[in-house]
Amino acid sequence: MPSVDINGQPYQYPGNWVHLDANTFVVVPVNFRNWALIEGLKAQVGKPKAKPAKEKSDDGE
Amino acid sequence: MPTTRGNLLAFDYAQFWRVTSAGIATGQLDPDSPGTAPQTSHSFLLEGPMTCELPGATFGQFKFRGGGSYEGSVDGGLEDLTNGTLTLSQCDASLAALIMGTSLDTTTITGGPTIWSVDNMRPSPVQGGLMLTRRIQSQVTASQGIVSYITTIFPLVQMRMTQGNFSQDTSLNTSPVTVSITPQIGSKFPWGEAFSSTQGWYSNQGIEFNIQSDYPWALTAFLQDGTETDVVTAYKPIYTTVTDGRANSVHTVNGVVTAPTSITIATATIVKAAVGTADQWSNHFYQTAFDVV
Repeated sequence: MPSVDINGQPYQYPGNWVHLDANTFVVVPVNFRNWALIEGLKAQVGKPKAKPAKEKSDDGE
Repeated sequence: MPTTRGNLLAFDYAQFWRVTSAGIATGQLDPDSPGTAPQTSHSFLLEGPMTCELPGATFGQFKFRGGGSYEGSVDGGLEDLTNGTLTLSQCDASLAALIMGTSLDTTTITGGPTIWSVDNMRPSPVQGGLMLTRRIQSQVTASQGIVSYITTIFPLVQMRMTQGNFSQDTSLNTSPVTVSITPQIGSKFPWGEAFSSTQGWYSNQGIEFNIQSDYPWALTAFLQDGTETDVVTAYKPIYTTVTDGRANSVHTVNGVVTAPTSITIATATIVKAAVGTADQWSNHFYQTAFDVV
């Protein structure tokens, strides 16, 4: 379980679980209504992470 | 088996959940704006030092007198229903928001502070279910002395919170929070199934009822998305039997009792027999020892 809810607040277990995908969820407070925030997170879940920039070697490659 | 008669003790748990206009539990979510499925929400659990004065029913009486003498009387039925009071030693912002339908505001001031109110200006608090669990020690032959649980359920209530007073007294629970309970007449169990002739209650209605069981109860509500079959409950269920969907636990889809495929204690997972219709609620009312996965 996450230690804080979607607002970064400590919460009383179990709270409400909003599923972002089959394996990921976030905890939201009672009477949560900021669903645009959830849709934004859903869009981010499953996206491949950006590759870190490759460091240049000493010979300039 | 739980006892049918005994001595009451130890007020252990109180739980509240919101309900739709069809009497189906939505956990801690707003039934009118639950958001995008799938979602899992649970009854809001209160524990710790608390007391509850139950709502009281008063009954009218027809009296017959004539010529200065008493001739007889007849019970006139329910005359009034008074509020109950739940007294808590803890101040709980989430409970205040839940029972009034308000939000916990963490955006007006960012960085951590939370703004909330008991919202006394609201003309009508939200409707929900209230479940109070205590223990009962058997005074019945064969189970003498065995302690089991008795759960009193108000299928529909409204509640208001009064903040604890400010005080510099050093005493027991100096600033208790009180929650008034306005009971209403309900016709459905917490899992959405209607009262029926099986209970034999007048007009299939009721203000409260009791369940005696070996363990306390908890409730999980799941907003179906038409894809997901697994529901994870907040606590490990005690029983895994799925027969008819009502064996030591009750499972419903949109208020209709529906047997799941399986219940797994270790992962607190209920696998439903079907994904169900999107944006309909499934309810899972189960016995638990409140062990967390």
